[in-house]
Amino acid sequence: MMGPLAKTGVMSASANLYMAVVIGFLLGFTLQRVGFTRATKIGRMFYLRDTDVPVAMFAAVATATLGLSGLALLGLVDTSRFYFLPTYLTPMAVGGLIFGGGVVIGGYCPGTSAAALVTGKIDALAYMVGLFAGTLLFGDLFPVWGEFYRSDYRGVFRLDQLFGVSLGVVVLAVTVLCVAGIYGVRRLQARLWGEKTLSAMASLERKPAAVLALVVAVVVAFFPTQSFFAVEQTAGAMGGWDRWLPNPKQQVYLGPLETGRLVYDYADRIKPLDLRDAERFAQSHLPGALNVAIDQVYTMRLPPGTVALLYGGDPQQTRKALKALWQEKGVRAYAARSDYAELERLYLDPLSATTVAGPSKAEQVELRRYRESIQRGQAGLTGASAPQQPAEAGPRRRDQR
Amino acid sequence: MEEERKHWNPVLAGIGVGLIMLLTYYTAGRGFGTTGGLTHLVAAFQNWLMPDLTAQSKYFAPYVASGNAAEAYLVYMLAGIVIGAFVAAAFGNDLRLETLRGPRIGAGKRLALALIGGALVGFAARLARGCMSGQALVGAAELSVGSWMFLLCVFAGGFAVAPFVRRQWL
Repeated sequence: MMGPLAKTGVMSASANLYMAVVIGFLLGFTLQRVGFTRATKIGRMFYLRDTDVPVAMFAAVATATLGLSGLALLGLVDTSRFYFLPTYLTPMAVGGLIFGGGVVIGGYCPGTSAAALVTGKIDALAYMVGLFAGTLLFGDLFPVWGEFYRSDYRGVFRLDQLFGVSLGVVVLAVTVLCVAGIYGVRRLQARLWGEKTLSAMASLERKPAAVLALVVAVVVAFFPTQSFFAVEQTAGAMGGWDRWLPNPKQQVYLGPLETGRLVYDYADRIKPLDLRDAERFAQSHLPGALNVAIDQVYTMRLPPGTVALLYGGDPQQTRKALKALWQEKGVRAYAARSDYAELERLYLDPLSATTVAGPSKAEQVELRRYRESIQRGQAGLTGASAPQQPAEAGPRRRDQR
Repeated sequence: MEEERKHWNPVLAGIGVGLIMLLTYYTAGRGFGTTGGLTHLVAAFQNWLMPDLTAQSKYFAPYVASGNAAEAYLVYMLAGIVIGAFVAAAFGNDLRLETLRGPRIGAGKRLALALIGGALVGFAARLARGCMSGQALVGAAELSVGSWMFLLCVFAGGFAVAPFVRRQWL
């Protein structure tokens, strides 16, 4: 069966969620059994007094790297459907430094603290209170560091691109690094703290696994692997998964409020596609929109990472266009459930009442914010106040604000 | 080292974690992660206490919005992690209330440091868009430059701060 199962239609959305519980269970069970729910084990790795954590990490990275390459080479997964992490280089470096300091002070990382908490570790409770506080601080004072958080965006940026070598060579290099790393940190621990500090199990880490990993890595390195992480057209080339964008497999029609949120949150990569006729488009349209006929959808070129928002088409047209964009072109595409008149009233017409859409107070607040931003043209879109603009796309602006 | 004998071999456990990652890719088409689910819970918690503040927060508002499938996935996974760890500890006779620390620090100080460390990590994990699982391990396997940078910096930061909290662990 072709993976990823949840995206090739083999597995339903709800089955995927149950699978998440199973995966989490395996992970939590392993973390506990290998002893990573003990803060002393994690804290002591920074003195090389206990190197089980780095050893396990090296083994996990080698396994997963080889496994991903292997699955792709064997054609068992469609990597163009994968979500890959994007790189925001400087924020990740600064975040890493603070994170490392926090781990040696606190004695856990987030996953191990949750696992440790339920096994009765009181320090894990204190740690998680801190974790919540830190997250709240980040989120509520987001305007202070929001700009930095979004800076230095490199898209999906891999080591092979950085070093200008083939993917297979990088896979081999990472595997060698991991195997050498396991032996290296063990030797260091023995030299600094004595052989006796190595756990009795360390004797199990003998050659077979390492030799096997290296042989597989060498095989992978000499395959023509340049193309198997098909990055250019993946949905993963867009923002972090800490943004709310729904999986198009599960939800493509957006309510009136969600439509505004999409335009607001994805201002740097949204492309509204207006399916109405040219005359009505000329009268008024969403800022930055492109007037397209349904056949044009099949031939148009959109920059990688674009999020398309369809509106104003009849249901059948819209369905066809969504399918064409997502399944054939790999563009994340959504459609507004509202008709154009409603969108215009909610987000464009400065004279209409603002308190019409959401039932709850919080939603009213949200709506007003999107509305103001779209009306001010601050959503990074072009032509906000120029409804007579010709039907071509305006220049895309990535770094607004 | 009586205590350590109870633990699984870290190489085998690491290979296990790698295979779990592959299972996540094969089924969901993405890596796993912990802090994504935690942040979802934090946002929901604040939304329950202070809905207006949450709606105005550019960062949290998307988390509490409807149709948030990707985040829900990580919440389910987090639930699994917690259950898995509990079951493992229960069957391994390893469930007990305790505060783990080195021999040269009191429990109160250890708890205070845990709180501070947790706050730093909570902040940093948001800034770096992930934690040890979701950013470091998964991204390293994806050969992401940002994740390798994160991983190197985690160890750089950890080793730099370690001398100041030595009494806590050794």
